[in-house]
Amino acid sequence: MTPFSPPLTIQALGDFYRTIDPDRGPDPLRETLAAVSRERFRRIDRYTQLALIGSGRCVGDTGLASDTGLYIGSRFASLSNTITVHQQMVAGGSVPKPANFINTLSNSAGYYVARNLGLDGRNLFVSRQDASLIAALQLAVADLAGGSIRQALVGVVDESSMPLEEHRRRLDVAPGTPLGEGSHWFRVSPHNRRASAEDSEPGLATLSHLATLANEEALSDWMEEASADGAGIWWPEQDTDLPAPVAHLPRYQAGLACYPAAMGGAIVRYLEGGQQHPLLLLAPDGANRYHGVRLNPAR
Amino acid sequence: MARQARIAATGMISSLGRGVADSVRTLMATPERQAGQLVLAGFDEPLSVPYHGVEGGPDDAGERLAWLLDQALAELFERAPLSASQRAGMPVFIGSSCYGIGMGESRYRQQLAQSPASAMPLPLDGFGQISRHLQMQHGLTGPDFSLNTACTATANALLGALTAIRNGQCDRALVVGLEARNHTTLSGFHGMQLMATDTMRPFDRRRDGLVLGEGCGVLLLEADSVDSGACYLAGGASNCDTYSISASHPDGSSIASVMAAALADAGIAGERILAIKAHGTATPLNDTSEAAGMRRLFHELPDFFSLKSALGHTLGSCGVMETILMEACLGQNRLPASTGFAEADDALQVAPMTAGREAEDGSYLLNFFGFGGNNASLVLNRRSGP
Repeated sequence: MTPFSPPLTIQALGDFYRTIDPDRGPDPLRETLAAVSRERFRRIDRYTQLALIGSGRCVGDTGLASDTGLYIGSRFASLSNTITVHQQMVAGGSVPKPANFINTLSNSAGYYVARNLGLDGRNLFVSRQDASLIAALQLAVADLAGGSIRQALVGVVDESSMPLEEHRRRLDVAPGTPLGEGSHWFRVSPHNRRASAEDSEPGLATLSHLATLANEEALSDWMEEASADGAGIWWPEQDTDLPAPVAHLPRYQAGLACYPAAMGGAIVRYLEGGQQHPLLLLAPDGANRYHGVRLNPAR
Repeated sequence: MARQARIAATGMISSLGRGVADSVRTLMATPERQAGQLVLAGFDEPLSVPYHGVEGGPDDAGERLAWLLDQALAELFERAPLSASQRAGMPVFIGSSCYGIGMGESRYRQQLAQSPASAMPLPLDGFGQISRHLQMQHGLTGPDFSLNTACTATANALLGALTAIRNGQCDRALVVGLEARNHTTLSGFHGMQLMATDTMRPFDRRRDGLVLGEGCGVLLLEADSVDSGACYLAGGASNCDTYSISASHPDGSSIASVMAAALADAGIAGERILAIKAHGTATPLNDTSEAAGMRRLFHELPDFFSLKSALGHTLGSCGVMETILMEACLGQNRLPASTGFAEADDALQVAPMTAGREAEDGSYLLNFFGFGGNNASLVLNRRSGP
């Protein structure tokens, strides 16, 4: 068994993405949320709104089985709410308000998504910088292989915050870099090559070769296994310097601004664009490691 | 025989002591621990909270986080001196409620003092701070999972490590839990009016809330197909109760459900549970739901106790820190008393152990519940010989 197998079949996807207008800032989400959420929630923050919108668009009217696991990845989780709490507490000397404090907990969004979709099973939040989607998928694969769940709803969610120049410093990107935010969701199940057409949904694509790579040498080894004829590469779009082992591959760019959840947005856009070739997606984590996955569109 | 997950080595630092043995010694010897009072500076009104903090260590938030991790890991690596390649290859499951939030507070406070015009809240990537330290200082460069599910974070980390070992994804996995003092958490719980006046009294009629605790616990789980004498993580489960974001359903149904799922995962019947380490936060709501859940599942309730009155509530790291204490107690064939309890609450219809007692080989259930509806139960199986 390879560390993170079997491959996953993407049965459904859905998301929300916006490039942030430097003058207006992030758009209000209330109407977008009302159109997709099954329940109306009070006192939720923007991060939870994003999670509800993306997951709601992925699931639609489908009923999910109770043995569905929920996995949310994010670099910053409830960013704007936590910023407010720190401004009030550190700069203003105020004790956090209970609703604000509760929303700083990273798994608050998971609670509301579970409640909205009627899920009561495994419900995890995980963070790994810009590779948080990979971490969430790795957890889902392990639980699927172990049999504690039958399918998984996996999302990656990161919000932007104002002022943008401050958020660029937080992300350690160049002044003026366009910023975005997004909530990208996938309903996945174990890929079963031997399943008959009657007992398995065909799926939109498979995700395979999930890996955490300690250095460039490990990335080269992974490339030998994961690469395929016609495969392209996705790497954070504002970063011009691809790692040497993948620099020769045709680069796919989804037209996304800079935000930590961008890998999820690239997967959605690649599939919605009708692409046929495999796509390798890689994210660095600021500590010399790489985190990768291969996307194989269904033909 | 299926792959089993043996607790191969542990390390911890807590308000009870430096090292596992020291912590267990204090736990067993102290009938009731009084928390200290921690004064939080920088608030409009004077604010002091009861706290089970770790003695000593640096005051700087970043240095303290690193110190807590290094202390606990030094103990673990002394018991299990892993090679560089073994360290580099194993997955690391991290759980915490704070991660680098204290570092973010501290840096923002410094910026406000030095150059307020350019001061920026949350100036760093808090979730990555523990993992980065583990990579840079300890060579732990394998897949890392920084989990945050409130007070079940390291219970879920233990479940993740157990699953990876059972699946054959790895032969060993490290679980890391850390809770370092910070103003966000302490003032947040104060604002929610969840803090005890002075001491925690789990399941007691007079209980009035919790006392937070500081510490770090690390646990190495290894695959073991030999039926040897050791403590095994035999199974577990987690679920999400959507009754309320801040409390489990008071009828105990979701808590009974997660305990039943943990027993099923471990392949044992409830009658074989010798004792329960309750979550036991001494808040009115938690203890009501947990008591109802235990009554609902067990026809005859096993002995149970809470460790939090002695250790403090270490939030996201309580899963691994309390598991480490349990493993060490079972290694001495002893169970601790549930400190802080004296007067039964008729509404709960249950009462915890008021004295320590001998522990036999067999299975023990450990409960952990958190905000966001997250519930987890683990089963430990202690065998003193093959």
